[in-house]
Amino acid sequence: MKKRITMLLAASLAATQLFAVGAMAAGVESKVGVKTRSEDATADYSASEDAPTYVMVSKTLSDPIFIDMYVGFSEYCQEQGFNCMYRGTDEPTAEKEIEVISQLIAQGVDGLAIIAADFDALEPILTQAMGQGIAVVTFDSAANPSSRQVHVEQASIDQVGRAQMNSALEICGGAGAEGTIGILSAQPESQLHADWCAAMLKEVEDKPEDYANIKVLDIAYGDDLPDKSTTEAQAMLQNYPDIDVIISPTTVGILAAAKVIQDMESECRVTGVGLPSEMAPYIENGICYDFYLWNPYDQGYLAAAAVNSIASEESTGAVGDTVTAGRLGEFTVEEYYDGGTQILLGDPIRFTAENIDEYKELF
Amino acid sequence: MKPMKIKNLFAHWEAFLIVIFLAVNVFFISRTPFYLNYNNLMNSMINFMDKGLMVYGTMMVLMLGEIDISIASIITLSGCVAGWACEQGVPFIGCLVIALAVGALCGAFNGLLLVKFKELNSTIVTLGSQILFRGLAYMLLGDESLKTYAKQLSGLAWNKIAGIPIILAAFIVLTIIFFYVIHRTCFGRRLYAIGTNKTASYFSGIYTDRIKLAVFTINGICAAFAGMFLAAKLASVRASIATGFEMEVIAMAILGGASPSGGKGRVGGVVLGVFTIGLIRYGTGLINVSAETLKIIIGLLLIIVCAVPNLKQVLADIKESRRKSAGLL
Repeated sequence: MKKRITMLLAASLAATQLFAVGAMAAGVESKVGVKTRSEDATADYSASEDAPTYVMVSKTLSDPIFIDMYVGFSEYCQEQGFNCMYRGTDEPTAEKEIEVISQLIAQGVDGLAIIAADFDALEPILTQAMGQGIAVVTFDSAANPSSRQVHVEQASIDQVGRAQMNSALEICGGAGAEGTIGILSAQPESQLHADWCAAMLKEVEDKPEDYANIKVLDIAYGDDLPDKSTTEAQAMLQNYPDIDVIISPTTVGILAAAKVIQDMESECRVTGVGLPSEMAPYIENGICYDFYLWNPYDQGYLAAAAVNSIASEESTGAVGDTVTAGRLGEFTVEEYYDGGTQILLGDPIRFTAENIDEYKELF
Repeated sequence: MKPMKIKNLFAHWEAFLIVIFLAVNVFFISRTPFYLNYNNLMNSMINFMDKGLMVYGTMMVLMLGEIDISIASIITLSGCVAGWACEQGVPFIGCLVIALAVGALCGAFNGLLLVKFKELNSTIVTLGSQILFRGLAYMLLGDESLKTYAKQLSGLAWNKIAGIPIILAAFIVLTIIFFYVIHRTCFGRRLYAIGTNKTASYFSGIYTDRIKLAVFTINGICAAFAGMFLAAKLASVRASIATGFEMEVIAMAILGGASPSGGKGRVGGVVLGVFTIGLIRYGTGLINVSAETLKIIIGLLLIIVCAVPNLKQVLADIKESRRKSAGLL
């Protein structure tokens, strides 16, 4: 009997690998289906044999916002006549990202733009990449200063974090109102999300009078996975029936939270960071009060420009250097709060019922 | 008599595995010029060898007809405890001892449960301890990542001795040790005996419980040892590392000829299993096959691998039933 169970386990082990892929492929399809995006958005572009090759390394291949960033990344490379590729991992873990990066080093690529799955863990492999003359830029989620040459920042973290908390306060009824606010973040390892959450809490700390009657719950982590985010959101609504707002600073989390609220017919509202195409129905039915995002195409475009700027030795990623970025103009490298350097894309866009129609077809 | 020969090939597992291994290599060499580059190959070892370091522990567990799916969590817990101890000022050597001790304790914990509660299935026990160990790691570190301990280990990750990565050298040493233990000692023969028929072994005077406890403890130590290399590679430890490692390690061992029904497997085959899966991962990455597709390849390979050794039995059964029905008529 025991043997049979172990045999069964071995078979299911193999089977889960297959099912996981099936489910994932289905997920990608439906996400792409929602949008009016061309089907091969993640395709390689090859200009010529001699042109440099730049690679965007994503921490979750099928995440629609990363695919949007790659569209911008690819746009820059096509304009300038460079080869480009979209690579990454099926799960956001450092181990898998290291493997992908080492394979790219083995292929002798010229530049990497990386969405880091872990702040510290990529240091050894990225140091190695830089040692071999490969330009290393992080964007969206940073790796630590010694493992990158420059970080491309989409919008000031502090500003976006505080704005989300502000929206939550507005939902509760403005300064001094009573309310309970929950935060549903991505993975605890993700530096970007950790920083946003810290900025939100700082906003509460800095304005004690406005937030005097607000209760902020412990941060829940949905790991940027739809099922885990859903479970966490459900738990929040069940454990705190009088919760007023869920802030979710991640596209996966805010969508999951909105769906759960709709299913459970709760009075709770959501705000955070989301994709207009995905969130439009929830803005229309009022579940989503507002949300923030920057233009992911421009973010990917600027990341490509930054990689090229370093690979072509236009800049070294040091403070004061100038980076030329095609249609976006010129950017100056600035100091980043973690001790490294950054290129700042600009201000975030706030999406509400008023402007959602303009953007929902775009990204 | 040609069909007989093919059947024989499938009957000798290692021979079949060598064919798969060569086919994989020929395929990749013909597809990409980067594959056969010495430096690239050696660096690829660093990516999959941390799983290879655990494979012999898993192989021995499988030989007993048991399974241990808590090894990934053992890596995490031992790494996190050692990392935490290092922050508390314990000297580096002390941290290494702590890491191995935690691994041994975790393994012994699994083994003891299985020995004391004979009704329990190892799948269920280690499923529980898998969650328990990782939970403890989260309790200890929360969402923090610790760097001091891992930084001191950093040489283990990418350094090479005479052109050979340290991790590969460690694997070779482990291979020699386990080859000796499994194929040349009394202990090894008893493993095969227990896996083949536990009751008979018990009544012929083998201390089956002691051996089971020892094997699970060794498995825990192997995991903790592999954990040092992983910590070095990541330059940090945190409670979320090594997720999903157990499945890949078990896959390597099963591909290598160890069977979850016990009593089977040879070190040579398992070495091939490690390299076959590792090189498939490396090669598919080089020719830019997506991570999703890679899962399909490895999943299919495992199913084929589980099915082929039974092919002979299936054919024999069919023949037998035909003969019987013919006899009846």
